[in-house]
Amino acid sequence: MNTLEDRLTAALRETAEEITGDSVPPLRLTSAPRRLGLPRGYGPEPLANPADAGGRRRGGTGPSPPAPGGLRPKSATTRPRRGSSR
Amino acid sequence: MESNPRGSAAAFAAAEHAGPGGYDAVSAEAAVTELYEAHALGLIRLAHIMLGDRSSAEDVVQEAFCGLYRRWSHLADPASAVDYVRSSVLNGCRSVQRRSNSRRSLAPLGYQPPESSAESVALTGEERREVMRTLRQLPQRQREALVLRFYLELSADEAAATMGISPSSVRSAITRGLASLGRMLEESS
Repeated sequence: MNTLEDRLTAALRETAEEITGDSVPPLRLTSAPRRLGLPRGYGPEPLANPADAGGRRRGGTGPSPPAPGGLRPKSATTRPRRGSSR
Repeated sequence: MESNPRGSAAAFAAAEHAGPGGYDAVSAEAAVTELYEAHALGLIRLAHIMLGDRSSAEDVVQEAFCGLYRRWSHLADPASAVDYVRSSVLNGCRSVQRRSNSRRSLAPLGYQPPESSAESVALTGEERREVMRTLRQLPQRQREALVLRFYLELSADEAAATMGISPSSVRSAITRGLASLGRMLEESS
């Protein structure tokens, strides 16, 4: 009869072995992560060359990254402000 | 599993070749990449055990190594990089679990690991599923302590450093976790 510790160890090992060594994805240090809903600041940022981050800066030529939660940036809102219509 | 839990040659080389500011991006990238190659499998397996979801496990590990890279220049001791990234993986798993619990998009209790195809298994597929289902019903701290102790075979001190709690709290979590696990498995059988 296996002890509880033995059963737990076996279950953990067998579950772990569902992941095989040849299926580990390569490290993506500079690419945007898939969104997991992880907290702000958890994802990777441009790392080696600050010039590469030009598209993220105000006035940059590259596309802006999607805002957290898929919300539109305030500046991109096309709806007219209340009271501004004539 | 992790072949060199105490660090890597590249990690030490990166520290040696760091510039006056203590940071060399090229060396850091090489060091982090080498650490990833050496430890990614073990860490993805750890996250997979915690989350029951392979894709999320891979993402958590990627994010942890990206975080390590960003903070490389602030690491006091490159040899502690593996401990740092292991803690990051656990933190990432907690974040995913918190969010999945609130969204009900991932259902840990409904996780159904596939039947193992290994020829020499100690448990049948159903036994393993039952143990893992029950493990995932334990409180977070007890679950983490059991996984670090019985999967990674960390000492209480090492697990405490990884979890950010005291060694006595780890020992207590293991004792309570085993008691709860045994009781719940008995009730379900």
